[in-house]
Amino acid sequence: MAPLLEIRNLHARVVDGATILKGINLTVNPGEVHAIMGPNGSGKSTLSQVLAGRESYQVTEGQVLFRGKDLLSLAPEERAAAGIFLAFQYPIEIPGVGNLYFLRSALNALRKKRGLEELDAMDFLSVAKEKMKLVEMDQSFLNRSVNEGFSGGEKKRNEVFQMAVLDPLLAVLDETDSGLDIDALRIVAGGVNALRNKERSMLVITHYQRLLDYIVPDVVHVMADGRIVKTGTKALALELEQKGYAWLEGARP
Amino acid sequence: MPAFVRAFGGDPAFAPPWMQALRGKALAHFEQVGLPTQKLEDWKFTSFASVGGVAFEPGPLKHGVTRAHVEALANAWDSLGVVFVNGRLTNELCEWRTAEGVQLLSFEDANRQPALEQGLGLGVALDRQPLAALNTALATDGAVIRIEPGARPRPIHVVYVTSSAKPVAAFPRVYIDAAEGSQASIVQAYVGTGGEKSFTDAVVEVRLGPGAALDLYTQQREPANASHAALVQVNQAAQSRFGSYLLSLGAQLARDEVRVRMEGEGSSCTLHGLYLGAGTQHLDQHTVIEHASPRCTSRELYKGVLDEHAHGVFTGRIWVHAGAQKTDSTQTNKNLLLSDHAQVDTRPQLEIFADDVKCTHGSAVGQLDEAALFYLRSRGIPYAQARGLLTSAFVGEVLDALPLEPLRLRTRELVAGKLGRALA
Repeated sequence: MAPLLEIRNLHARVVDGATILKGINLTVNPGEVHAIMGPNGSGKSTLSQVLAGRESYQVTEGQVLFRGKDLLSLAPEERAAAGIFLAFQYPIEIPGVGNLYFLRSALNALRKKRGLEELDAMDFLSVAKEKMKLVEMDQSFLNRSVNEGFSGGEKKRNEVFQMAVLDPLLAVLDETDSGLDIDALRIVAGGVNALRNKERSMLVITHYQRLLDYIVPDVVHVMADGRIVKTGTKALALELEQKGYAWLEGARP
Repeated sequence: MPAFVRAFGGDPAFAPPWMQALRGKALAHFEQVGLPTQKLEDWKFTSFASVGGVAFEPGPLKHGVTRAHVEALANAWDSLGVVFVNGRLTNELCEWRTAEGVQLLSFEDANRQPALEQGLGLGVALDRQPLAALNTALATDGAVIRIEPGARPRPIHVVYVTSSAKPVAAFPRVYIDAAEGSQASIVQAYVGTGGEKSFTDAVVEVRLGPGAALDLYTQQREPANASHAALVQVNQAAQSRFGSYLLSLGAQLARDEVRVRMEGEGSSCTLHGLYLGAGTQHLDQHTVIEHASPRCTSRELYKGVLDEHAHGVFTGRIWVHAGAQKTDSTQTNKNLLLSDHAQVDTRPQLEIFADDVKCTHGSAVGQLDEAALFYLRSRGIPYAQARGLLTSAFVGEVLDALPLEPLRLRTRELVAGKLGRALA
């Protein structure tokens, strides 16, 4: 089976700033769910932003292959078209751009790139209504501006809703559990689990083990100081929960 | 004095002595100051000196311009009310609507009416406004639009067209008299057939009687090599309501001034503006709101989008007189720069001489939010489209507030067209 994502010796820094990623190696096969854990500042979120193509980071070394092809030369919208989706840790509020219009524009842009017919407003609405059920979202959200005035939980549900509509091959969930109470966490995780299948892979980035009770990973990686320092099964996450991150200090891949 | 002024000499044959005197006085004032440049405080960022070097002529009377032509140029959805070709009222293209309570007269027809004699030029500071003085000196036949007391006519289109095979200068003049209790909308469009350089220097005077309501829409869509200056001078009686909705898209050099004096107690005004510049366009918005009476309300919102090497200017002066207690005034100016070479100067000027007032103002200059742009692109929306979405969202606030629905739809298209070109 050919891997979906291969990250080789990836180094990246903030443009004109500090180096954050110092040699990441990671392979994700189709259908696998990988969790990436680690303390604050270890580079977890930077990795997710670099994968999605954020221009404020600069890759200085290494490569990333997605379905065997170079990912790093692609613009963010081309990565989305290739099948990458990033659920943001802090979804952006965009006043004046309607949620429905935004998401239809996005889906149609992807469909166009993939040689599919664009959906008209009516067809899109029925797709949207169907997918909203996954995260128990109210239809009134569609008529509001993108994330504007949404609560923390509503924003995260909106991210998973978008993921459901855009149907990616690789979903990167960046601290999707942060700021959620237990009910919201259950809803969001339920939505994510419903989207698991044998083609779709996920990178679940989290600081806490709690999320992994709901989204059970196949592989757990631990990041520290810009590197993956430990890889294991779900048991590793539980170990971290008990011991904290301190015992990893000094660990090397 | 620029050489082209001589080509426009002489009073029209119908001009009565009072009009001749006003024109003479205006010309003297213009001669003293000349074309405005940055040396004048009110023109700190804008100069019309370039206009002086062009051999402008009065332009032909009609130049083959037909009614259908004007309707298409102006994007009019209702019959034309008033049409100026090359600055002169063109009677055969105009429509009289006496039945609806609208009187339309040329200055020639109206020059013996005491209302015009008493009102024309009132409140226009000829000594401090050189282009208004030049218009007053050189305008030939203007238009009087009188809305009868209590009348509620359909929207009235006023179109200013330039069309000539040679560089043409136009000095259209309009006098709007909205009588007591009337309610009307006037939609102005500045357009041209393009080609040769043009210079339009317009003055529109508005008198609102007690309780009158008037919305004045201005679509500045001059051709690309036009120089455009227009002054709207408004005087409001008690309990009247005035709205100005400016869209400035065209011309190489444009100055749109709106000066409102709320003379009567309890009057209100809304001044909205949207200016979209690209290329090397220079678009200057200048507003003065004078609270001369107690309990008047003003609402001002101007937004600018400047791309490429465009330069935008906003000046907003709010002047609250000593006796104007209970004044309620807000002013907002926001600007979006789409390129590193675009530029904007924003100048709020508040002069408050009363102590029981509520006045707020804010101005901002920014670029597209990088985080929002990345968010949209990460969902698959291409860069140009993402930029367009965010820019449309920025101008949406002004477009959504246009009260006249047919115009709102047309304006959206015009704006999308301009932004589409700029963003392509």
